[in-house]
Amino acid sequence: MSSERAIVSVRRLHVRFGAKVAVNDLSFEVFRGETFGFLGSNGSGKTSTIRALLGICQPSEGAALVNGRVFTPADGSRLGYLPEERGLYKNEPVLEVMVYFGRLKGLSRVGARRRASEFLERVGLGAQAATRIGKLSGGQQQKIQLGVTIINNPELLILDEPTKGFDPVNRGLLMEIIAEQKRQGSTIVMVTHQMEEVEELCSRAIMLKEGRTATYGTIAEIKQRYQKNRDIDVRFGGFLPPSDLYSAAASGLNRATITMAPNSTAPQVLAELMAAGVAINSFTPLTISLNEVFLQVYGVPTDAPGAR
Amino acid sequence: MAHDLGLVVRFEFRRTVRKKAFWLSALAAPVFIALVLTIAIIGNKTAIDRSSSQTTASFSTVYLDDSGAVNPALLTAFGAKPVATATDGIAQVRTGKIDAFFHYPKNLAAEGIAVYGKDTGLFDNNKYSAVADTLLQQSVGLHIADKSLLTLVQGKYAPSKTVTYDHGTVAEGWNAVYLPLGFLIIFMLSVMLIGGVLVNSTTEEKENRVTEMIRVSLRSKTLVVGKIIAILAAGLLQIAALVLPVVIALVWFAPALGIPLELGALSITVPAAVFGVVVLIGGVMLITGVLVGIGAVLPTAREATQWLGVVIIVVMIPLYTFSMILSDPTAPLVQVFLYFPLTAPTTALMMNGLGYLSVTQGIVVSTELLVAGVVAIGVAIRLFERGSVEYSRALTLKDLVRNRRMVRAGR
Repeated sequence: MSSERAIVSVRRLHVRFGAKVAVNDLSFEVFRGETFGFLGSNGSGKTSTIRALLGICQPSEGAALVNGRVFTPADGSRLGYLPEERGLYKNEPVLEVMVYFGRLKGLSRVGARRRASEFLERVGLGAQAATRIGKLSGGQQQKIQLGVTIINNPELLILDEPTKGFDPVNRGLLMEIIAEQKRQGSTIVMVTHQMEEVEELCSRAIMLKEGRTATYGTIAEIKQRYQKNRDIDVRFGGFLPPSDLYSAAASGLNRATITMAPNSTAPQVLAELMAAGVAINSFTPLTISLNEVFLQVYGVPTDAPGAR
Repeated sequence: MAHDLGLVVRFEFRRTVRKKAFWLSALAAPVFIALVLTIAIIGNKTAIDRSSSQTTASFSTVYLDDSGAVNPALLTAFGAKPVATATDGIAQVRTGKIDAFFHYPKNLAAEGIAVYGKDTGLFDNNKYSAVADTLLQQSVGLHIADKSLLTLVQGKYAPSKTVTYDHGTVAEGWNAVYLPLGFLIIFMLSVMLIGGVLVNSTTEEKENRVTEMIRVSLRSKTLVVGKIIAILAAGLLQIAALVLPVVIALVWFAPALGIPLELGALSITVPAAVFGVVVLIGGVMLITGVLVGIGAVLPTAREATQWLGVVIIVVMIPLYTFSMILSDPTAPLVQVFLYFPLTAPTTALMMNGLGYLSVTQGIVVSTELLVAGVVAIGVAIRLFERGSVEYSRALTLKDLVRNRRMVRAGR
């Protein structure tokens, strides 16, 4: 049974292309209103999972549900999907294409035109409304694709590598728009290789490896799972006494990195230091970054030939 | 679905008719035909004028009349002088002493007039034989007292009218051929004009990477059917833009070109009209399905266009059996072409136009094409579902057989 909070439920999903296994017994949920990171190296099965979820290909086994049922294009008015392989009709004018997609997503002609115009103004492309899409730069086309994706204020927004091809300025604008969608109540699934984006936006995530779950949970849980070394950054006055609870290495004037012994805990270390009369100015346990977690999971390039 | 279908049809129609190439291909043919007609009419008039002037042309001539049929007074009036031998006459022409030498042999019926002349160009050289013939005809005419008989002998009478009966009623002849053959012309134009648009429009979804964005809002069936309807409608507009000026030009210029075209006399039988319409619809559906399927399977328009050429050739091949249909419509090759789906529309529409398609054959081919058309479009939709997210490689038969489960009916 999927949780009532879940807007996306994937249960024991398998996607095979003949003998090739793209997704292998995958299960996870995305909760309503959260921003969920869908992570994995190239060929780990992310796109196949998304395609199976959206009915673009059929699962070989298991279930992939949106709002508790198999997604059909009739539900498209509540979805925004920005695929990794994306493009628009290059010979058609910007506004016309946006209105077309808006109308396919259930908006009225007037509503679609208004939403499209607002978006174009917002991203600085208001003057290009009548320009053919093919005449825009790559970054401008990406903005139009994003505009088409969110034109219907979707309940569920699936973004596959949304910042790919964006310069830092436009990436900032994009992240702002995504955050705005979240504030308006959208659930966001982000497929990305940019771990800093995940740390910035996502509350939970899943990492796929060769079609299977490598790790899944809140960002804190995932980090905790891969936190191998247990280091603490300490700023202090006085001298650090030797102890069985830790070993210390100076990292600057009145600053050191303490590595805890296997059986010790941070409170025990802090108590020991204070008991020794060390003046503690700061005591910060060092946490692993998501990027480091990614490297640990996918240390070896995994362009698995069978996965897509 | 009807709402989405309407949206797709309007969008696809607009973007098809907005392309410059669409109007160029539609209007280039009428402009070219108008140009050819104008040149033909001017050329025709010039030829008639020059031809009539050649019979009265004047040049220095010698003659030898072994037949005794040519009136010497006429020859003298023309300025022709007799020579003793043919060798002498030929030598005079060869040396440039005289312009022409006419030798009327003893047996005119068997040998014909030998005409020798100074070369004055391909067209002008005709004046020698024109004058030689006229002198002979006028000489013969002198022996016929009755002027009306003389006219008949010279072949100056109205063309004969043939009336034939089919089961007791007057057969329409060629007047019953033009309208049914119109279905064949419309079919050919449809394939040639919209074939490329259909293939490109399908591959464009992949090449532009639009497929995934659109398929989450739209069923594949709606998208494919909408495209087909829009492109067929645009094709009809293109055909109208192409055919109407040609028809108007033909009606306008037919008398000037000497074409016996009487619009009021054109006719079509009910079976010919019904079979023409049904075979046209079935044929267009079948070819449309095949072309969309090709566009769905192949990753780029360039690759798909090569296959479009193959399809067009297969569709056109039965045209080479035109004379065979006229002489022996039961020939095995004609029968093979009549029932093989891709060649059936052309063959059936030709036979229908020429009046050789029996009711039984018409029913069988019409049914076959309608069924094949529906199946072809259905398969094309399936192929699009499967092939539209294959961006860089062609879908193989193995893919289709192995992954049938990946394609869900109704999407």
